[in-house]
Amino acid sequence: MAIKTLKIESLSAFEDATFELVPGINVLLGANSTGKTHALKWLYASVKALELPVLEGEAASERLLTKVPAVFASAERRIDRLVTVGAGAESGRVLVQGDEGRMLYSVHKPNALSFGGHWKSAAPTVFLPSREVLALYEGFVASYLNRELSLDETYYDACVALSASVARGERAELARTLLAPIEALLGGRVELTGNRFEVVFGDAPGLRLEAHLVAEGLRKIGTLARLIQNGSVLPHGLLIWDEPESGLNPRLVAALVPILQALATAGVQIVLATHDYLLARRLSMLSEASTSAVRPVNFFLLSRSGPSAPVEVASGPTLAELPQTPMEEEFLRLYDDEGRAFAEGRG
Amino acid sequence: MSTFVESRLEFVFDENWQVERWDEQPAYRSTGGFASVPGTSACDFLGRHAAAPAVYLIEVKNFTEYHHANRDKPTSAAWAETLAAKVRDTLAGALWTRGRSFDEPPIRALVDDTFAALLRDKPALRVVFWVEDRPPLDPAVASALEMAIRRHLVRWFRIGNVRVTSRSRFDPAWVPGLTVRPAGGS
Repeated sequence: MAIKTLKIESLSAFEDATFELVPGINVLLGANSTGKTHALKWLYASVKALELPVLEGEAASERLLTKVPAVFASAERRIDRLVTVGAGAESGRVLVQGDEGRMLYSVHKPNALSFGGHWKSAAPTVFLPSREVLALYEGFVASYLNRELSLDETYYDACVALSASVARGERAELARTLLAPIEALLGGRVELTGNRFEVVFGDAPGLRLEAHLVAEGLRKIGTLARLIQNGSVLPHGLLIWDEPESGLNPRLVAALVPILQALATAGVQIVLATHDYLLARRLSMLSEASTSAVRPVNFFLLSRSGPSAPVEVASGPTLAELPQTPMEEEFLRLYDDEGRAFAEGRG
Repeated sequence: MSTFVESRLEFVFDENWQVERWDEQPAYRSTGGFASVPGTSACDFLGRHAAAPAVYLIEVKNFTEYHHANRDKPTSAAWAETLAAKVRDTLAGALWTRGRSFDEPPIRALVDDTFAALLRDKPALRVVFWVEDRPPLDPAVASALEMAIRRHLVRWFRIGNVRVTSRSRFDPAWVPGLTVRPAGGS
């Protein structure tokens, strides 16, 4: 199921925010504390909570009441902690409109949730947090379940997704096609040996490295490879990725773009948040070059006029159709500062 | 072949070009020309290349020869706004010539071809901001500057491919049939 709309009212950073998503690649931009990760988490928690089996009414409410606070790691796992502080709101709402279903739920004080709509999605949803999880995997699931870790549930879910067995049959065939360029970039393949992941760079002894010994950027690429390999990232599924660029050098960031494009072309809907100008600009170029009626990429710029002001969302199919982003502002400020330094004999 | 000197640089357009120094055309500069409309401006070059389906607008700034000029160099935001306005005004000025005394060859043919290209379905406007500066433009900064210019342009046009470049960074593939060298030099 492709997600068409996410609407968040009076919850966490949002007073009233709407995201009209494209089936391809959706890119959230904005300075820190403008709600990018929160938007990703609202989408993820909602869709993941009701992934399977099909739940409605109270059963769906119960599931969301558990999942949403876990994804946000809110204090005492209370969902009403997420009702917007300062706006005087007693409740908030989330609407997720897909092409085959719709969910609408309200979060009330004290700690209650009511669900409406009908939601059915058999396709997997994966959230990749900004920190890599391939090296984290060993022993993480047990530690999380024993409450020895205070990380939010997206890390746990990502580790569970990584643990799935390698896909077989038709799914394996599709995975192979998508995997080829990723493994070429990685320079090897990812294997689960016992309870830890290894990257196998060749058949000779010494070319098998445990994930911990591989560069962080490559571990992120390896994570994506494994999730494709085991069918966790699938056509008609949803991949949510928070700051894919973190830990990646610029060459890997640029190389990620055709990989994201191939996934989107295969039918994976992607929603990501980034601070990286190179990634955003490359994705904008895909959109600028497109002649399709449905743009392959859509951008959302989140901003707020002050620390406690509500988040505003502007959207457009290319960077040029958004207000100036903080990334560009800084490059231009650099240019102006360099010019001043030169004029004053400091540069 | 057409050769022009602008900002101590020699711009050589090959025989496939139909190009004019727009801001020095009588249609723009003369008494009663488009520049007499308050607040208007113009790009240095307006042209078409026989093998490319695009209209090229080229604006040149050379700060390397004038050290003191850097003191008055506009900020990047002002540059973006100024250049976008020059593009807007150059195209408005080209259209403005129609039916006036400036509506004669070769201007008439250039204006005809310009608007025929712009009215095609595919994006056909290419803006080149030629900046010679010291130190040379950083590529990431140039890209951000392109985006700032483009952002201004999309307010007025459906299209607007923008390239900020300099002699040290120029790739001839971006503008076919154009060679740029220091005026009077190698």
